[in-house]
Formats: sequence, structure tokens, C-alpha cells
Amino acid sequence: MGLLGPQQPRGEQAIATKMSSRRNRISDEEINELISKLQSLLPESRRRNIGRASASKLLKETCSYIKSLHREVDDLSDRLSDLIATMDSNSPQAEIIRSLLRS
Amino acid sequence: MSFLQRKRAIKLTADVAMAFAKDGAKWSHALIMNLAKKPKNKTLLRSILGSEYERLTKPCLSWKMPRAKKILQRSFKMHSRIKKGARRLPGVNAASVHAEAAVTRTKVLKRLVPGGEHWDNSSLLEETLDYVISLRAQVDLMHLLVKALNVPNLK
Repeated sequence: MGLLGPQQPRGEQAIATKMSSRRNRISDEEINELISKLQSLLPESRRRNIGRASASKLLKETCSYIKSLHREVDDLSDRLSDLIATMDSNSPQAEIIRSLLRS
Repeated sequence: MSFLQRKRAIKLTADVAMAFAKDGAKWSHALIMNLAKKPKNKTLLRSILGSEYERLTKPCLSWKMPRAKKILQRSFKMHSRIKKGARRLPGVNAASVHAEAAVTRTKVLKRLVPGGEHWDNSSLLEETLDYVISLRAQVDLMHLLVKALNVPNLK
């Protein structure tokens, strides 16, 4: 690329940026930001500070994290279903539920 | 009401609340639309969403990839797969293995995020981030609810 002289790479880059902004509305910088934000959300990267993980590792972690969150919601739905069923309708808990449903 | 009916109602309510809190996000619209597809959910959905039901269950065609682009993408993928096959005969190289792993995992992610199959990769990334944050909030909220309903039982 250096053989083409200093003018060429800049021109190419300008065209590349224009093309990518036409196709994807997000720049490379924003994608990197999204990737690092996603990485910071994942539980493992909070425990040990991994440098930029590979794309496929990040995807794999994200997928398993989402699956575990889905399982947790399912489990919590089970527990709430139990609690609501065994609730006495005159209790303060019932009042909590009623006030939530009203808002 | 049976245990399963109650659980399904609770889960649906939690999901709708989560989606409604992020009204405007692609995944949010897709989630509600997926729920509305099942006839057994319609009554509950209508009572939760009220006047918003029509708007939120209307299909949003603007973010779906046009068919022509999808067909083009598919033919490119097949073409590059044929090319890769021919090149890989001398030996497997690490870069192509990584690239293929990323592609497979992207497909899995597309199935996990509601509506994911219709978006391009950069939208998928953005929506995934938003969706994960919302899921965590949902889990935290439900934990709090369990705690609140449990406390008097300790007496």
C-alpha cells in the first residue's frame, strides 16, 4: 500500500468509510465500542480482566449468558407462581400485587 | 387456575413489561409480536396492553431485510463456501476455522434475541446489548418481587 504513495490510502479510506456508512449506519469505532460494552456485561470478564477477546468467544459467551438469564426468568416465574398461589388474599403481599397491577 | 397457567401468565406479564419499558427497540417489538402470534396469549396481551395492543402487534417491515438482499447474501455465502472448500484441501487454516465459528455463533445469537433473524450484524450487536441489559433488569426485578412476597412468611 505504501507503493501507491501517501495520497492513495487516504482516498481509499474515504471511499471505504463512505461505502460502509451507506451500508451499515454504524462506524467501525462504534462497533468496537459495542463489542467492549458487551464484553463488560458478561459475567466472566468482570472477574478476570481479559483483553479483547476473539469475536467468536464473545459471541459464545453472550449466547450462554442470554440462555442462563432466560433460565433464571423461568425459575423465578415458577417461584412467583408458588408464592402468589399460597398467598392469603387479605395479606399485605396480596396488596403489593394489587398495587402493582393498578399502576 | 393451574400452576402452569399461572406461571405462563406471570412470565408473559414480565416479558411484556420488559419489552414495553424499551418501547422503540427492535427486539421489543419482535418480542411482543412473537407473543401475539399464539392465540392463547391474545386475551392476556389485550388486557395488559389495552389501547396500545394494535400499535404494538402491527408488523414492522422497515427493519426486515428486503428479500432481494437476503437472496443475494445467501448466494454470496454459498459461493464463498464453495471457494473455501477448494482452498482447504491442502490443510485447515486457523483463520477460516475462527471465521466459521463466528458465523455459526452469530446464527445462534440471532435465534436467542427476539427478531434477530431479520437484522444485519451491526443491528444485531446493538439490539443484543440492549436486550441483555433489559433481561438483567427483569431478573433483578423478579428477585425483588420474590423477596417482597416472601418476607412475611418468616414470622
